[in-house]
Amino acid sequence: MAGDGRQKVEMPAATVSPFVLALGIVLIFAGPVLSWAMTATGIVLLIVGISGWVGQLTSPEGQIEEPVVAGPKPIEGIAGRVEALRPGMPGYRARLPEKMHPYSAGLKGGLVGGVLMPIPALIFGLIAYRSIWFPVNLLAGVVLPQLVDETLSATEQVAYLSAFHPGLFIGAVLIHAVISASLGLMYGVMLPTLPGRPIIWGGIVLPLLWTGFSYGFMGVLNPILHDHVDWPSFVVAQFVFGITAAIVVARTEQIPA
Amino acid sequence: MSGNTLADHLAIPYPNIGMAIVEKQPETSAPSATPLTAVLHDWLTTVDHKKIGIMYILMALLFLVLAGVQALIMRCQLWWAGNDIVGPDTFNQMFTMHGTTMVFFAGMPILAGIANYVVPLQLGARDMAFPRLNALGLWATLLGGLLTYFSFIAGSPPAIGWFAYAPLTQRNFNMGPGVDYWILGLLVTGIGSVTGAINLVVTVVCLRAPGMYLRRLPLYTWMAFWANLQILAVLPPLTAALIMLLFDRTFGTHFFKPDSGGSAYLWQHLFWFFGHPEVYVLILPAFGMISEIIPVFSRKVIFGYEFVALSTVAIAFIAFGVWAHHMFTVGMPRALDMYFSAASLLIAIPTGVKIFNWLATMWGGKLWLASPMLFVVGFMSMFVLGGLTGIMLAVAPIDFQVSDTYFVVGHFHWVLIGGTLFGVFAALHFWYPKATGRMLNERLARWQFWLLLIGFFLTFGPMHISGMLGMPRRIFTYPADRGWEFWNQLSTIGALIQAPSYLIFVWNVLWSLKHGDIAGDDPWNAWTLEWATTSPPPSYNFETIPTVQSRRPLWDQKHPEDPDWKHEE
Repeated sequence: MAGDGRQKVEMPAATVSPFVLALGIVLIFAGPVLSWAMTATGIVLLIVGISGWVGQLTSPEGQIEEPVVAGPKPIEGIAGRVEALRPGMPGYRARLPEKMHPYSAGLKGGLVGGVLMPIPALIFGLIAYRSIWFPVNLLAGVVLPQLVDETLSATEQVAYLSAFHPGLFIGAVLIHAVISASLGLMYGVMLPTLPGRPIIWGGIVLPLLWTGFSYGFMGVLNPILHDHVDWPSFVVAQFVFGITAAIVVARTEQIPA
Repeated sequence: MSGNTLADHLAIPYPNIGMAIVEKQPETSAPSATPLTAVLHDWLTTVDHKKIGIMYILMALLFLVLAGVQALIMRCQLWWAGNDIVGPDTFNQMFTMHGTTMVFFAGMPILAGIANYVVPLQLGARDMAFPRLNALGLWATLLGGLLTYFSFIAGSPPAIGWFAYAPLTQRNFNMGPGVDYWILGLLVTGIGSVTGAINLVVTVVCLRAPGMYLRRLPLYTWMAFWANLQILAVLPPLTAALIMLLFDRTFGTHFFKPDSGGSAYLWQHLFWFFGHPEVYVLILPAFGMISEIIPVFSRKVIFGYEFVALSTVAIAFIAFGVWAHHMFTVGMPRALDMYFSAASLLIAIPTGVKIFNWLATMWGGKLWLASPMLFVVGFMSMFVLGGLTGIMLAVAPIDFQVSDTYFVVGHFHWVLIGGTLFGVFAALHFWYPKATGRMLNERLARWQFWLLLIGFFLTFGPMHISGMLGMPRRIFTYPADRGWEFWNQLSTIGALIQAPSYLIFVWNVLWSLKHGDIAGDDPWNAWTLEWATTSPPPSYNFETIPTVQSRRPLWDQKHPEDPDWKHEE
């Protein structure tokens, strides 16, 4: 309480020391390009700034007592203007589902779909190139622009892609697992929100959409895959994933959202 | 009695501090001088976080105008093929100083300014943890910028790009002092950034109001906290790299000289280890601003607070591990290409979480499209579009095709500058009434918004096309037969549409300071603590430190029948 009866709050006092110190620093740094005299001046200012700073901190003048001025208007309650939405009221969960699948269902669906999905691709690799590694290596091309040395002949490129490469294998498995799990999670969240049968959406409509997208953009996203992909087996693989993931998700018991 | 508006404070020095200076330090103060001198003295010596915040913002706006002028010069130069408004050297200097200014002297300071102003208020604190250090941070940032710009007076601005790739920065390629000014200016500014970051982090950790646990932090403060942690982590490597470069140029060391056993590649790694997290240093606070504004203008609590908060942490950590996606074309080993591509794609997940949470907050809300919310909508459209092209660039094969073309320029201007700029304008329109006691003029704000939005789309959209047509970035002119002219002219028209939007904002700020409607303490009927004090707040912010029980303390007070803490337990 101050002598004039007003409340006071202790606050740090104004000081020019930070400015002086900053000026000293900038002059020190300017010295190498302008003049070493500037650096010398900067050092002096630095010492003055630090001295003023420390001096203020160690003396009572470092703090001042601010008189309290008029405060804010008191906050008034606005009772009765909030009404929570409850089941049955218009607008309550009109669009969002009241029940949903647990996230684990989507993850499980994605992973199961991910395990079955490669089968058509691997069969294609075996039949066409006598190697299951061919589609695996192609998948790794999503993140590897120079997967195959373009100076090689077409036959040599195929031979390279048909061989087992540990790095590419790990990369392909990671890409496949991440995409499968992500899509599965998306299924788990989305399917209960879509009207009609989940199997139609998850097994047919969604694979159709992303297969069309893949067909359109494959040349940009993964040129290697675009050059060597067998579209029939690719499309079959997408539908295998979609149907499997949708079935796994749909069979899981829903929980309240 | 306190003045009601910032204008009152400008007319007479801040009554609280000014009176205290008169009372306590009559022998050193200058209030007996002219009022203008007294005002300047007051602002020069202040350690009040709010005044420091305002000065940061004014500094940033000044540099923003400079960077904007440089951008306009570049756009006019590129209007015709073979144009010669400026020569190649001047053009190189323009894009170097434009990028440097936007990142270090406009972007970071304006965010530091808003954080300085808002964070202590949101925390229920009286000031920052280290008020004097706060002032040092401001002056170091400003003087560092002025030192860099002194290169114009010295006749040799740097012409190295804001990324300053080696060995272009070596003495034999850049003999003038411009690069030295650039290095030294950034070192001084870096001191300001680091001191500011330390201050903000300590303030959030130590000065929260009773009951404001970390899980109850306002989202803006939370995101500013993480952005400043990132500053503390990534500015030291940049500082080290700058000192090494200075040594190369001054003392003949050869850290980045490939012909003497050094590595130009090393500079890129050091620079981008700073440079990519810097993107999140700039955008995370904007995310925070958006996360504050959307709930207030949707009249709904934020959807999935925990997910928004945790996705910030995820972004901050992943951001440290993606820097080399700027370097796909330097010829890294395949495994590194693969890792950095995957990690860069990964960052889209927590970012997407935020976007969906904001949309879900708006969904079903009672939307109020006042100016802050308009800029939020602009932010989301820019950021989503730019983010999608970012995902494209994270895929190494695409990056190989468009690296160093105008596609990249269009991408990062949409996602980073568009995101940050729209977020900052949303925040400035949101908190201006708190800082000044006056409302900004809504009509002027809408003119500014639409000109900025249309201008931004038109400037940077066509750049994606000119980039895909093969136009390299940083060229000062181009041949007429490449099909780039039309797209460049569209971009220039976009820039010319944008330019008045900034002038309108400046005019609105100045006009509203005197003529804006009186704002009152809580003009938006908001929920965080800054709205619980006067507009503008007194120097001590709160007479009594408030106690907090939920994430929306003002909601609790306004709605005692249905307080948030009942639902948050």
